[in-house]
Amino acid sequence: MDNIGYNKNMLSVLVIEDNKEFRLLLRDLLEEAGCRVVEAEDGKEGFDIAEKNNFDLVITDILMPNQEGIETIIGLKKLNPLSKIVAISGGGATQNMTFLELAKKLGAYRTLQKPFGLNVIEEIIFELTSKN
Amino acid sequence: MNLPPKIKNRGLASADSHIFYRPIWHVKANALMAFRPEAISQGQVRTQKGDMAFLTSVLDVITKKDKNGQNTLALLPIRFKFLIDQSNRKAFLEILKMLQIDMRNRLVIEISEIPAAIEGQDLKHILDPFKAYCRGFICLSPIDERNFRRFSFPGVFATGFDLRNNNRGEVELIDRITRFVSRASALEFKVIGHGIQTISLATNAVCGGVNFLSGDAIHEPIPSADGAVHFKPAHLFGLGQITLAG
Repeated sequence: MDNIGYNKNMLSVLVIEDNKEFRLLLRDLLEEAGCRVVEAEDGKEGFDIAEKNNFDLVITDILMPNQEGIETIIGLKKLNPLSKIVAISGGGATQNMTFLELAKKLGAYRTLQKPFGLNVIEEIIFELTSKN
Repeated sequence: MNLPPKIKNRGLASADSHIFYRPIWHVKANALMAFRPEAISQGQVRTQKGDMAFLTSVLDVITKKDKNGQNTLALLPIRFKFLIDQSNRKAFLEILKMLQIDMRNRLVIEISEIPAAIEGQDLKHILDPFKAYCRGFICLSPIDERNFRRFSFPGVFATGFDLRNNNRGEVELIDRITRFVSRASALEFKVIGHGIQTISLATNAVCGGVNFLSGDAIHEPIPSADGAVHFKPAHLFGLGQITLAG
C-alpha cells in the first residue's frame, strides 16, 4: 500500500461524497487545514482507492449511488479495523439518523448530520493531528 | 453491484414452486410483513387466462393458510389489462366474495400497467366494486409518473414503482425515486418500491421516504407466504438474524 501523505505531519484524507459541490467544499477546507486530500464520487470508487492506499482519515457520505456509506464502512473496517472514519448524512427525507447510528455501531470515529458547521471538521483534524 | 449470495437470503426458505412470494419490507414497522406472489413465467407471454389461474391459485393458497391460523398480509398483483375486461372482473369478484371477512382485511390489490391515458374516474369505476372485498388498492406506475391525482379516490392508499426491468444507472434512479416520492406524498399516498436490486438503492429509497420495499436487496422470493418477521436497516447489510415478529 502507498501512503498518500506528502510528509509524516500531513494528514491524508479520503473524501467519499457524491455531491460534487460539497465534496469540493470539504476538499478546500481540508487542504486549508493542511491535509492531503483524495476524492471519490461514491462508495465503490472510494473503497477501490482505499484498497491501494493508506489514509489517516476517511470522510464518507451515507447516501450515495453504486455502494452507499454503510457497506463502504464495513469494507473499510475489514481492510483496516483501526481506520478512522467520519460518516456524514443528510438530505434524505427519513431514516438518516438510523443509518448514522448504524455507522457509529460499526466503529465510525464521528457521525455528522448535514447541515453541520465546517468547524466540526476542523476540530476533528486538530484532534487527529494532536494524537499523531 | 452484484450482491453476494449470503445477502440475498437472510434466513427464510428458498422458493421451489411455480409461484413464489416476495417479502415486502414495511420500513416504519421494521418488519417483512406482507408477501407478494409472483409467477415464474420467464420467457412466456402473459395471458388473461393465465392471470385468472394465477389469482385463483394464490387465493387458494392464502385461504388454506388462513384456515390454519397463518394470518398472512398479501399483495395481490393484477394487471390493468386483466381488469379492463368485464367478464374477468365479474369472475374475480365472485372469487373475492367467497373469502372470509378477516381475510379480505389482509388482502391488498395492486394494479400494474395502468395506461397513462386512463383517467381517475375510469379507474375508480373499475375498482369500486372490489373495495368492499379487500383492505385497499395500490396503483403502480412508471417511475416518471406525474399524474398521481388520477389515483386520488377512496380505497387507493399507495402508489409505487417497479424497477425490475429498468436499465437506468443508480444516479438517475435515485433522483427519479426522490421525485416520485415527493409527488406521491404531496397527495398523501404511501409509496411502495419493487425490484430493489442493490443495497445502495434500498438505502437511498428508505431515506428518500419510500414506505414499503421489495427486491433482491431486501430478500429473495420464498416458496410460501408467511407471518411477519423483524427486519431493520441493519439487516440490509447482513448484520443480525431475522426473527419472528409478534
